[in-house]
Amino acid sequence: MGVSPSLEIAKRALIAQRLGLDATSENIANVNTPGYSRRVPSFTEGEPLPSRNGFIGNGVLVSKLRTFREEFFDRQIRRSLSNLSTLETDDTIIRRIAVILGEPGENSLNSIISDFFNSFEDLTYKPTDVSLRQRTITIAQTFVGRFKEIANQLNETRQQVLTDINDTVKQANKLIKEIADLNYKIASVNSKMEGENQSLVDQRATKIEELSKLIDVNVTQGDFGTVNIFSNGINLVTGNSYNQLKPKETIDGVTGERSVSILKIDSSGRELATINLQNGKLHSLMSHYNITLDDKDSSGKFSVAKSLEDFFTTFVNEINSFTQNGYGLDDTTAPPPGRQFFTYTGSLSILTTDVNSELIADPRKLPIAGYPGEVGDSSIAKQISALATDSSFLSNQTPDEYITNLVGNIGDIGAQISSLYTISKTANDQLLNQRESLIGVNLDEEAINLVKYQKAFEAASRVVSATNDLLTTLVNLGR
Amino acid sequence: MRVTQFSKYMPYLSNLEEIQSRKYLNELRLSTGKQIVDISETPDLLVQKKRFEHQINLHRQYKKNIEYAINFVQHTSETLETIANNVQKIREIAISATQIGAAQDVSTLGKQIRGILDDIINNLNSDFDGQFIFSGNLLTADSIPQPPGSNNNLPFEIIEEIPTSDNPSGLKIIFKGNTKKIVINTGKFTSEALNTTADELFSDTLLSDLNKIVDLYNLLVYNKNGVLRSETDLFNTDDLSKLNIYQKEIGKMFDKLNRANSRNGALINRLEVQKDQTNSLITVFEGYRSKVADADYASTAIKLTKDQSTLQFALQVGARLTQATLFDFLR
Repeated sequence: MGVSPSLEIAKRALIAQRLGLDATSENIANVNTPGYSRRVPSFTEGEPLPSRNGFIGNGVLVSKLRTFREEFFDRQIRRSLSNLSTLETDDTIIRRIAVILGEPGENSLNSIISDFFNSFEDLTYKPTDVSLRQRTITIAQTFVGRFKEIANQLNETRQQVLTDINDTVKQANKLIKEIADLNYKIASVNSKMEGENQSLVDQRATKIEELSKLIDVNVTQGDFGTVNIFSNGINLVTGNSYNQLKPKETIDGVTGERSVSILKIDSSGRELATINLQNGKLHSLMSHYNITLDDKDSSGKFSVAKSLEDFFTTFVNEINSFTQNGYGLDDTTAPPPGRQFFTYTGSLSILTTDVNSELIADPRKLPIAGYPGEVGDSSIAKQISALATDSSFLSNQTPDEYITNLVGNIGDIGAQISSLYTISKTANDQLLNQRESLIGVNLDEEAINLVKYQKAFEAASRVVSATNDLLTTLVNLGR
Repeated sequence: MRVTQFSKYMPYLSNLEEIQSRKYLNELRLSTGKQIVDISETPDLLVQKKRFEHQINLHRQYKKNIEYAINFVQHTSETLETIANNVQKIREIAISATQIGAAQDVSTLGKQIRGILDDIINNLNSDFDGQFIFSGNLLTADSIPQPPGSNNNLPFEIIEEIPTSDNPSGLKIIFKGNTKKIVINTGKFTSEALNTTADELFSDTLLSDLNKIVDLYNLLVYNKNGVLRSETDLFNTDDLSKLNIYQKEIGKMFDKLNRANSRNGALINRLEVQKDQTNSLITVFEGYRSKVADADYASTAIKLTKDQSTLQFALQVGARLTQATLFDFLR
């Protein structure tokens, strides 16, 4: 056996330790990169060569750069992120609704409703007082104004949610395309070389996690290291081919109810399937657009806008049914003039209703007397004020109970979201921690690796130097 | 468990966020004095608070109704007392008329009665806060009808009709209001009628008993032929008998007025009791509301102190997170 194998062994050692140093520096460089999976070179001893004295080692070989990514954690984290994203979006919208309703605060709807009924109660003992009548009308205008303000703000929020849906679909489509592109790159590398390009795999995992925040995704393994992405059974990515999403708003011809659905489309924009999302930001946004903020919602689920609309229309109809039978201060003969307290243009809704302009112009016309010419009769005012304690007003509740329970429901949903968020966040943090303990970078560990590879590199250099000296001695022997 | 750089920072940030959020809520409670500062935190308490507020508003309105009612009934009672005193004065005049010999004095007494009658009518037309108190539910002048012969829109009026032998002065007291009650709510299930109606004061709405005063006036001022009494027109036996009857009728009217007024007295007492009960209910509901809605300063301050200490320690831990790694020792 000659001297040259030593040089070969030293060369391999230098290459291996260099690679170790490269992996370590890559790990250190990406210590704060989200989704980065640390790399550790796997060293194996080279196949031994036979010698007169038996087999002797052939140096070190780098079999591969090892990573620690586990599909189990990735899958769990994707689910958890999807959940968290749903809850975060729900929380944002519920809080916005609470602000719109002025809750918890002093100027809540309850106090305006209370003022409205109390103003009629005042009229029961002083029905001829025009300034009290004027006050009642002013309070009613405030009542209508506040409901309109809320309805407008809920509508604005709904439009904002629709914009968010469009933006989220754009983001999802971008991610779907990027995942398909990464699949292509990974497959290309995989078919040419042995092993995966871990940087691309990490990038793809990060993109899939981003996508899982927007829609619920299922991931299956494909050929040559690619992955297939499904959302609720609908295939979105297969290898490097992919489909896009498209939001579609439909309007019910009868009720005018507007709702949004998410469709899978092909490259020419042809609609292929409807995706029934169950989780993720997009699912949350859609459920708030289609239910919570939809004043024409027909799902039967809890809708803030619909509940307020129901309350308002019932309220207006009830008050009008009373005042239509009433007489103003100057109505001296039967039948009653049939004056409505609230008037509306087109169909009755919050936004189309106002206090009767006839009453605003002349409060004496406020029909609170039950009989013509009897100005001191306030039986209509009494019927209206009695509505405040009428438990059959709407859904077997008084007006105040209805609004209180509406606010309570919003609070309950908020509390439920808050509690689920805390649980999901804890679970997500634990999963991230567990995954991090496998794939994450520890700087102390990397410092040791750095020293380890550096020393090994130095030693291998010394082997080259010693072998060189040996060869020089041998060459000089011949002179 | 293998600890990485990420696993050091991530839970720390999560916890720090939670501590700061808790601290912020407690600071908000202390600065606003309100326990419920977030709709999602304690929705059950928010609902309870709203229910108590509804009860408070409802009862404050009942209290307002009752206070108005008390003032109204007190004013009615005082007016009725004045009317009753005037009626009593007329009765006394009637009694003294039987003892006077000279017709001139009798006529003077008659003129006195006329003056007192005007006062009574003025009192019957009095109002409280712009609303007539004895005219049923026709509370304003606009709503009072003006029948033929009437010269004003007041509920009670002395009109002058064509003199007859029965009514030589032609005077007649008429009532143009009605006898409907003004009812107000004094509680969720209770109500009270505020006003005293004309039929409660007098025998009927034609005021036959009140018109007895006119008859008395006629008797004192006119002789049996319907001519103004001269100095020689002394009372005869028939006149004295009539005088006696009128005096008794007026006495009955006086009793009726007093009975009506005693009902007002009882009503005031009842209203005062209801006001006290309503006040107590308001206080109780305010107490309940305060319990659920107002911040408990002592416990909130302790919680805030705890949060501040926790935050301080958390920040110290945070400072240590950035401390040396092995790299710092490798030279």
